[in-house]
Amino acid sequence: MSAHVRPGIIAGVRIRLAGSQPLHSPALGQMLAGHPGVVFDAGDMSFASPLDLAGITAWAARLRHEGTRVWFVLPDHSDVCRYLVRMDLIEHLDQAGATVRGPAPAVRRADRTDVLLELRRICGPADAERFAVDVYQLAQRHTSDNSAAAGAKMVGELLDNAITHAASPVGVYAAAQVHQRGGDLELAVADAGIGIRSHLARNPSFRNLSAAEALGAALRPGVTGTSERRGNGLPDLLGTASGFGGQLLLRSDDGYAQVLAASSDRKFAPAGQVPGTWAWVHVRLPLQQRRMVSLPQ
Amino acid sequence: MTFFEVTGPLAATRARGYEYRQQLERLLAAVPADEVVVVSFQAVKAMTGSFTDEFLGKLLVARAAGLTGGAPIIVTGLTEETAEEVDLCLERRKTVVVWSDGATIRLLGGDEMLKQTFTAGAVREKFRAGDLVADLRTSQQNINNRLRRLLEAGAVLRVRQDPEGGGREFLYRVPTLPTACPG
Repeated sequence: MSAHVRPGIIAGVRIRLAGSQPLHSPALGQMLAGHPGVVFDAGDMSFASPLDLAGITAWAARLRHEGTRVWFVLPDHSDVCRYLVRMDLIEHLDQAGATVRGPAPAVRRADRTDVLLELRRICGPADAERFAVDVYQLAQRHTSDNSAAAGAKMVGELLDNAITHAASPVGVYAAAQVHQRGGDLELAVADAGIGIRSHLARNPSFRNLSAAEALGAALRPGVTGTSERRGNGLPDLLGTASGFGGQLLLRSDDGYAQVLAASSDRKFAPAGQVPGTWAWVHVRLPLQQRRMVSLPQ
Repeated sequence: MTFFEVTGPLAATRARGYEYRQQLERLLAAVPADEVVVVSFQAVKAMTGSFTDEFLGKLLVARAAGLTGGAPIIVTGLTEETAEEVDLCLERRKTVVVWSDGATIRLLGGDEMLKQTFTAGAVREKFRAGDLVADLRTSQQNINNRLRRLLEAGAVLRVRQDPEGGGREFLYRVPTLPTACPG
């Protein structure tokens, strides 16, 4: 693969997706509305997580929806590249109208239903229910029914929030995987909608919050942008995750939150702008039987 | 008895909760007020708070306000985890439902006082308000208030049974699962 030649790319704003799990970094993000072209350059990406997959796709799809031309440059690192192909990132970017540059490696499509839930576009409640069931079945291969159900419940809350409140014009993207030694479950859900701040601002009590403040508010019980008595989805998710040593990362607009569910360790900060709301959950499920697995990355 | 089943293994979204609520409201409107409606969660391994609130939370609030049919509702087939979800949801909504599986019967939702009152009634099976005044060592007014809330939610049933000496009195009972219930 030619490492530094980027043929066929018209000049555009370049978003450099470098290093390990680039979208986990609050520094990454930028207001891109109005630019004629955007290049997501993953040439130097060394590791990708489900959040990177879901976030990149939601971002690219939103830009395409607004008429911006989008290119995605594949990683030079062949293992990372194979992982992105295997997780169907390239296929979804293509469907969203982005142009992928770089030779995509041929990946033998072995059955990895024991560890991977490939990137999926969620367009409504039926898709969300199906994805939650798939997470349940994925986790069930490694842990007890109850723990698998907890994993499915968490992704269910995230997906329900996204399809109910985000008003994403391009749908919602989700992916999940169990990590190499089994037991570590990662879930990611990314929409390209209005963001948590705009949602909460519908309620007069929560106008004038910064994006980071809005994330803090959304993690408190009973805080909602609706006129109804609800707003317990994220706090309940944290409650479930706390039993499994869970961590939650949330990005919405230019806000960033990193939370250790079982403690009061919560970090809220301003961050680079991303469209919509992105969530990543990592939990350690108690293994029923330890299984060694290997992933393409 | 009328049977209503929630399909599994997951119940995740508000949209699905809304669909179930609509179906169950139609069913409640069609059955007589003295017929037990059994809602089975037997197939459900997990449900989100959002689904639970949209389905049971809103339904039971509407029922307590007299906006749906008056048939008593019993939920069945819950696991400890899904029961906890229902309990939390109904506690937030300040309403209750009866959970029964075979030999066990519990009140989900409400506060501790309401749960104690329900349990005391369930132990007696049939009772008058005065019985619980003695059992729980509290005032008649407290018991009347709690029984009113349980009655509105369909967690107890009552028939008028005035004493021979005059006055007005009600005989209460906790709704129970019919024998050979599929849940």
